[in-house]
Amino acid sequence: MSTPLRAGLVLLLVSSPALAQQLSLAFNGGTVTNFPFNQGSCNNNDSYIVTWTASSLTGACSTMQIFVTTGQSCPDSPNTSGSSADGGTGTGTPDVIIATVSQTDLQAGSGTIQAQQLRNIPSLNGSCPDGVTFTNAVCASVKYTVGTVGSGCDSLAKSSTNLTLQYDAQPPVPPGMNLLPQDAKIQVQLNAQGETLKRFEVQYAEAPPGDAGPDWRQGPNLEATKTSVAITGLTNGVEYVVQARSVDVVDNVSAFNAPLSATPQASNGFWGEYKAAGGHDTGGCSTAGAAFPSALGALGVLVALLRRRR
Amino acid sequence: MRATAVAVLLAATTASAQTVVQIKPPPPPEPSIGFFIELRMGTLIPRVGDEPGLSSNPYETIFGNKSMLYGGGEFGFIFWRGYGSASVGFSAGYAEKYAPALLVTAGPDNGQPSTEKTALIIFPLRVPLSYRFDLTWTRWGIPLVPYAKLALLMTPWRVTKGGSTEVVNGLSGSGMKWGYGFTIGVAFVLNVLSPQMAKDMVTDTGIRTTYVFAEYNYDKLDDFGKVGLNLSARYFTFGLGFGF
Repeated sequence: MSTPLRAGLVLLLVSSPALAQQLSLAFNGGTVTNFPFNQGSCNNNDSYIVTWTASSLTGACSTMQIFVTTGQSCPDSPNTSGSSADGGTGTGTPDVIIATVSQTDLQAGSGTIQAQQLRNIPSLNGSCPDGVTFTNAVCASVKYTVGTVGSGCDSLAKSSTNLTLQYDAQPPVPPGMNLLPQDAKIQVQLNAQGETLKRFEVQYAEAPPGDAGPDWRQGPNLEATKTSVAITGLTNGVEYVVQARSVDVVDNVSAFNAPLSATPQASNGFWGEYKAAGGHDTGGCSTAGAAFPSALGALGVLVALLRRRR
Repeated sequence: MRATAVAVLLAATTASAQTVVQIKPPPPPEPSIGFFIELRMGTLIPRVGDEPGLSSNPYETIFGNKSMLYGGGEFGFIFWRGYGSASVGFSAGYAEKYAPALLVTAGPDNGQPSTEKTALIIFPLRVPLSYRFDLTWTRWGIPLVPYAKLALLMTPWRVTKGGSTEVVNGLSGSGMKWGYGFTIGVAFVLNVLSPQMAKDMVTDTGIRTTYVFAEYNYDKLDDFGKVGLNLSARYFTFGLGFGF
């Protein structure tokens, strides 16, 4: 065998196992990679479940450690001391190992670890503080042997999916708002200020006389993917005040924005203008409808006659 | 046996020495029936103001002198060919016009544009009976084909304000209008520009003629003279057609 051919074969043998290692994590077997939760979930001791899958890890030579780290990306191995010298993120907060999977269990190819309390992620360390946001990554790593038996146990397989746990105890910013007064309704235009939201909540009231406070009524909610919603059933010529607030994906609620006022006004569309000008039409299908089948029948007879003559 | 072989050889040699005359087959006759598909566009202004008794033209009040953009298609079945051709078909279209609604207040804002849009939307449907003087093309090779149509019209219509059908005093701004219409037009047969491509299209797609056309439409769409919303219009349309 020629030297280049032999070298290529060796390279292929060495590289193939490395390429085939596959280690992935998921939240309860799903496809969601980010798990946001709020202060309520933290206080309620809610938990999360992680599943793992591994393929072609026949050369595994250590246990697989599944751990949560304070960073948003995964280090090679858990930093149990919290120092940067230990190979971790070096934030001073040690990573939390949530499961250790034996080499034997690894051969099963997949598994589910015991439910873990959300409040035990490294950044929270058992507490549920106000007004902060933390994101921790869930990682897995295992060492394996490359090549022939007896080689060093020094190659590392890391989870390919980057799972994150996001603690969000920070209320969103109130939405930007614009009002368009229309006929017996007010069109409320809303826009998110900053983070991704779940919805907007709208309240409205008739503008109170003097110093009296508004008697707020619940208006329509608006999905955050949309930008405007109408408050309908209003009285033209009456001034209304409107306020709105943001609700983020973990149900944190912002304060209401500063109320704006608007007065619905009657308007005529084309139909209104037509009727105002004395139009006689009343809409709907006219009685002339009988003419259509008649004329269509006549047309059919005509065509038949022409065909017959031919 | 040998004599036969020599005779065949001689015959072949004689044949090869003759001048080869290729007889071009005559073009296939036009089939007695066929069909066509047309796509057309145009602009129109409905003659709403023609309704007797109106104090003003509401179309002009709302939309000004701006036209509705119209687009549509037609399928026609050619049932007779003789001195020209006759067909019956079905045509469907769509036209719309949007503008701000007008405020109705006791103050100075009265008549000013609102933040709400209003629209007149119509869906013109027609059953046309048409005659094409297509001998100009099939017999004389002149690529201009005049034609005329008489059509029965049926047009569902709808008025919206703020995205939903406008209702005034309990009367919904939607309905159906009936009428009739005349069309005259002329088609320019594109086959003349590239006869070879035209032949290929017949072979490949079955399209015998491709043409562009311009036509003038006179639509009387007022429920056959009944007083009411008048959607009659006189307008030009232009389009592209394919004959099969």
